[in-house]
Parts: sequence; C-alpha cells; structure tokens
Amino acid sequence: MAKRTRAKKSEQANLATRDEVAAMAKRIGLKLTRKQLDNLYLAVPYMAAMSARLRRPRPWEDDAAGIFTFPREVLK
Amino acid sequence: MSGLENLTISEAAGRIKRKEISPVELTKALLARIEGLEKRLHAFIRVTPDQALRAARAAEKEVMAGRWRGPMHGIPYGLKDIFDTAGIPTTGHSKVAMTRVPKEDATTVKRLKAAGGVLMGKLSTHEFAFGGPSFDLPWPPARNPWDVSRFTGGSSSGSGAAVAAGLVLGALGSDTGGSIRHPSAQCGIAGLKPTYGRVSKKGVLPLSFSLDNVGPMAWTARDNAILLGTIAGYDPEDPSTVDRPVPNYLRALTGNIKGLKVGLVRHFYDGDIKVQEEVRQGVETGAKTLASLGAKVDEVRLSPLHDYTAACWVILASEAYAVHEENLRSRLYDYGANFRFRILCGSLFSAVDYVQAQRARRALTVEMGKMLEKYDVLLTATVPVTAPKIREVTLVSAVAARPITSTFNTTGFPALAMCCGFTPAGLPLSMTLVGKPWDEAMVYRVADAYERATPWRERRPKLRVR
Repeated sequence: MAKRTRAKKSEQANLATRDEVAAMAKRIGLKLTRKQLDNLYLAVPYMAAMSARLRRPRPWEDDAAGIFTFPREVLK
Repeated sequence: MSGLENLTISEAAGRIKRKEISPVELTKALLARIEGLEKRLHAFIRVTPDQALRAARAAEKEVMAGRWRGPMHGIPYGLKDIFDTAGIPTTGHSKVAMTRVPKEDATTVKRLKAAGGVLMGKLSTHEFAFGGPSFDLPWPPARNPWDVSRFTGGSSSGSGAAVAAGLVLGALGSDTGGSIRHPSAQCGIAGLKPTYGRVSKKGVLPLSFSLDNVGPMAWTARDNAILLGTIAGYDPEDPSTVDRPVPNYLRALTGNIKGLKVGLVRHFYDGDIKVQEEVRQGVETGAKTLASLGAKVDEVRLSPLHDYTAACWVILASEAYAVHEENLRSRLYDYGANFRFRILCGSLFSAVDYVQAQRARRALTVEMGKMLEKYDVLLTATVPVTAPKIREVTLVSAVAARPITSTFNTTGFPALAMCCGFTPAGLPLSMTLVGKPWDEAMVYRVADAYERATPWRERRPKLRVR
C-alpha cells in the first residue's frame, strides 16, 4: 500500500514537472512536439542536480562580476 | 604511400626549409591520401584542393627564393568548420548555416595564412560544436581512424580524425567543455585548450561566450606549440583576448623536467567518478614516467569534480541557448536531434542558476589558481573511457556525463590532452596536463619531455588507402 502511495506521489511529481517543463518552453517561445518535451523531460533530473549543487553559502567575494572585465571600449 | 603523411609539422618544416621536400609534393601526397580515405573517415565537410595547391605553389616559390617564413610555411592544415574562411562556406556542420559563405577570414585563419600555411579544407564538427555524433545532418559524422566503427569524440571530431589519420599535419578546433581535448584523447593526438583570452575567437561561430576557446590539435606537443605560436596573441577585434606577450614556445622544449612539481588530481578519475581501468592505469603510469624523469609528483585534492562540471554545464547551456535563441524559435527542426536535445537543456535553467554558476566559477578558479602556486602543472585523466562504438553514444549520455575536461573551461586555465599509451585492443589512452594561466610553455615543456621518453608517437593508425 505504502509502495503504491509513493509511486502515485512520484507520478504526480513527475506530472507537475512535465507541466513546468512545458510552461518554461512556452514562456521562452518554443513550440515543442510531445516527443521533444519527453526528451527534454529526460534531462530534468540531471539539470536539477547541477543547479542544486551550485547552491551553498558563499562569501561575498564569490561575486559573479569577478570573472568578467570591463569592455575594452570602456578602458580606453 | 610516400611516407610524407607521417611527418610531423616540425619534421616537415625542417625538410621544407632545407628544400628537401616541396610544399607542393607534400600537399599532393596528402590530397591523394584524403581521396583514398575520406569515404571511410568523413573527416572533411569540404576539401579545397585548388586553394591548397595554389597556396602550396606560392609557398614553394618563396622557399626556393630563400624567403622561408617559419615553421608553418607550406604546411597542410585543416579547420573545424566553424572558422570563417573568406569565400569558402562555413556551415557549423548544420542545415541551419548550410549556405553561409563568410566574406572575411577568422583572425586565426589570417594568421595561419600569413605564416604560409596551406589550408586543405573544412573539417567535420558536431553541429555548431555542440551535440553529436549525429546521423541526421547534411554530412555524416567523422569516424575514428584507430577503428572506424568508433566515435572520434567531439566536438572537433574531424580535426581529431584528420590529424590522427595523417590527412593534415595540424588542425584548429574549438573547446567549450572539452571539444578539443575529447577528440584529441579518443584519436590519440595532442590537443590544447589555451588560457581563456590567449587566442582570438573573431570569426569563429560562438557556442558559449565565456567558455569558448580556440586551440591547436596536432600529432605531438611540439607541433601543437608551433601552431599555438602562430595563432596566439592579442586581437583588437576580439574583446576577450588579453594583450600579453606570446613567448617562443619552442624554447621551452628542453626535454628537462628535473625538479618540476606535478600535482596529481587523482580523485577526478579515481574517486569522484570511476574511469575505465585502462584509462586509470594510463594516467598512473604517466605520473610514474614524469617522476622517473625527475619531476616531483604529489597527489593533490581540489573540490569534487562535479562542482566544476555543474558550473560549466549551467553556464554553457545557458549561453549556448542565448546564442541560438532566435533560430530555436523560428527553425528548431532544422537542427539535428542531438543538438536540439542538448541546447534545449538551457531552457531548464533560470537566471539565478546562471548567476550561482558564475559565483561558483570564481571560487573554483581561485581554488585551482592557489593549487597552481604550489605546482608547475597538474595532471589528471582526459576522458573516462576509450572511444566507444559510434552507434552506442546516446542522447542522455551527453548530459549525464561529468566531463573532466570541462573543469578547465570553468577555470579558464590551459590544458593539454596527450596520448599516454594504448589499450590491448589498440585504442589510445590520454592524460591531461594543466598549467597556470598564460603558462602554456610549461605545459608544453612537460608534455614534450614525456613524449621524448615514451614510444607512443611512433605508433600510427593502420589505414589502408583505397
């Protein structure tokens, strides 16, 4: 019984994520087929794991601007 | 065959300078080899024999008149088909850019021409340097010269295949997450991702602005150094290049590495991920060889590999999506399935993800920089496995992989993939040497000493020309 409930919850979570993926694609103007959405959905766990890995407390010196330099035009 | 296809750039340059061989003779020999092998290797999208012979004749005339320009004079080379070439289509191996003919050469191409190099043609790539191997594009994917049923690695797939097969003596590739070093590893050659900002990207189709690098691919570290010396340096037309002097890399190739400090990043290939046993052994044996040459090898620890790769992937996918956004909206299905799959992953990341990735990148760059204050070079594996069967490379494997190569795109440091042996089945093994920013010379010094001490550069793919 517990196993079936867990499976149902997991299915719902999957459905929610599928909806989210479809909504994200629509928001940025993509017209994806069902198959394309299915393919994209396959990538979700990998992408989510990467995003999660990047989130941790960081000192303020870890400033995204630190990897860029001024455009050359500005430095003239 | 004439045997000319097995010359290195360095050897050919010496013989051209001494007027022992003619650039025309060399170019004709390689054109014949391309003709005989290309149907099986698919390394080229477009061979340019007329232009090649014209350039070779001009080089011959100059050399005979005593005007030798330097080690690239009369040397046949190839370009990944994302480098703009005036009057010659530059397609990105894609239907999307099939009819694109640039008016101007990329800066790197201008520099190779000025050095007297002989362009043999445009080489296969994964579509727009991202996603592959693909079988639904206007041209087939390149095949591995060590076993044509196998993957070359990518995305500079044709560059790897053409150099390994002796169709050209050197090539240029691009590298955003490992696209020079992956095919260099799988094809058994030397490929360098230079320091970010060392080589101009002007006129090269972009994939990810803050991760893209242009670099050389060649049979030996010495040849690689010759190519880098030709193309490196500040370009006022590329704001990402840095105005720093380009040293004479060949002077660094002393063969002596006594007393140098090598940091072995073992956990990248034996801990954070588990690589193929033969790959692990190849790197371990490589470390022992460096130690036997007088280097001091210590095991070192950095952040987990996945921290580096996650930052790279989030930045790469986001920036690549931005580059292709307009075409993705208007002609998504003109791209191949493999490219579509990878690029659409960029739509799954938020702006916050991107910023967090850049913050992580800064911290990781500082960490690796501090490690390199204590060591002359770092050493690790290049790829986790030897070349797989080309039909066994899946869509998901691309996003599931944690490529060690991408670590050095995250930090921007120079990294050279080089052959460190072969499996019993005859497939190349590869290790990577990493240097301090702008210190490609040290990387070449160690790599060259290693190549002199090992027999791997004597072995070539067995290809019968039909």
